[in-house]
Amino acid sequence: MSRALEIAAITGVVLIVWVLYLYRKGRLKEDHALLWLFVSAVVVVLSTWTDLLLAINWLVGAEKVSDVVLAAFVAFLLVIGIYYSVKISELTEQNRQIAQELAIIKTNGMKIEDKKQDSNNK
Amino acid sequence: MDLLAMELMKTKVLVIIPAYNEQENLATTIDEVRSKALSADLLIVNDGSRDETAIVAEKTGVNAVNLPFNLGIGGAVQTGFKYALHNGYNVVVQVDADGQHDAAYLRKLIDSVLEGKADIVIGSRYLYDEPPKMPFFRNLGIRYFSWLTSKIIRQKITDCSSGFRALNREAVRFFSENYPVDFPDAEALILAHRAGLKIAELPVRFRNRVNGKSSLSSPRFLYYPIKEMLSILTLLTKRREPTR
Repeated sequence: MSRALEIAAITGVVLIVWVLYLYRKGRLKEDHALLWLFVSAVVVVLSTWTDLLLAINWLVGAEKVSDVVLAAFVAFLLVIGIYYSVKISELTEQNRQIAQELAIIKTNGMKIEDKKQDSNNK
Repeated sequence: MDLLAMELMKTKVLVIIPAYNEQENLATTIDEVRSKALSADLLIVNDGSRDETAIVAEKTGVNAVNLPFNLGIGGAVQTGFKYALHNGYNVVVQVDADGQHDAAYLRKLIDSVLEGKADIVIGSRYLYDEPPKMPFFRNLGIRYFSWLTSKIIRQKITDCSSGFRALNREAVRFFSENYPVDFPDAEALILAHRAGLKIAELPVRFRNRVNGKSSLSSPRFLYYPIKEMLSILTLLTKRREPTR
């Protein structure tokens, strides 16, 4: 195993531990934790199972093993970027709806309070 | 008293005034609207203003919905529609807080909706005898999007970006569920048309803003046409949402 693959394997293990820690602390939701655990596991498997990495390299016809790893990494970042854009868009929409409903409820509540006070004063 | 006036007395009318950083213009606009729409209720939608708009709104004694943060003009107007729907209003008029709309035309807009001429009646600056004076690129943008909207809905629209509009309950119900958030102008009309709502325009007088500056004068104004085009093109690929 080359030094680069050793570093990749160690990074993968560190990522798994870190993700589990964040999940335990409640700072990562299940679906996000699972996603990152899966990614970390793929890093560990590819960096320790050299034959598999070479097979993928041969399959896609890349010149170097590092090209495959880099291309996979960039593709993953693109997918994850779009995924989070979708998530943020969903949250923005939900946020807007909550803000609108909250503001209306507050105004209606104040109107009811005013009416109550008026009737109490009479 | 004519039949329409009697009808108006029975009808719950709400005038929505979306306001973002309009502390200087709001009180004057409220006074003017109050003087011309005596039987209507007023609602200020304070769109997370960072100035004293909320305090000015409170001083006027008009009902105000204070959004916790800035949602943009579409989000603010939609909040007004939701409020109108929750509180049983039959007709809603949208008026800008900057004082550019002449409240003398309020009654004409409301009457047109009550007469059933259309579900949405737009106060058009371009149908008025004297065309509005505004910056070249803004004028160009409005004319372009009005032309595009006209082509798409196959009906002549001269002022797609007018914030002076009257709507009946059906249109309010539709928009409270489906309203573009950032720059709602042309897209809202296309959405409404696709939902089977009738749109009409009336000439209204337009005045230039006295205080403050328009949100469209920010650098985002450059971004607006691109975003609007993307929204419209995407909208055309979506399924229609019929209301009737």
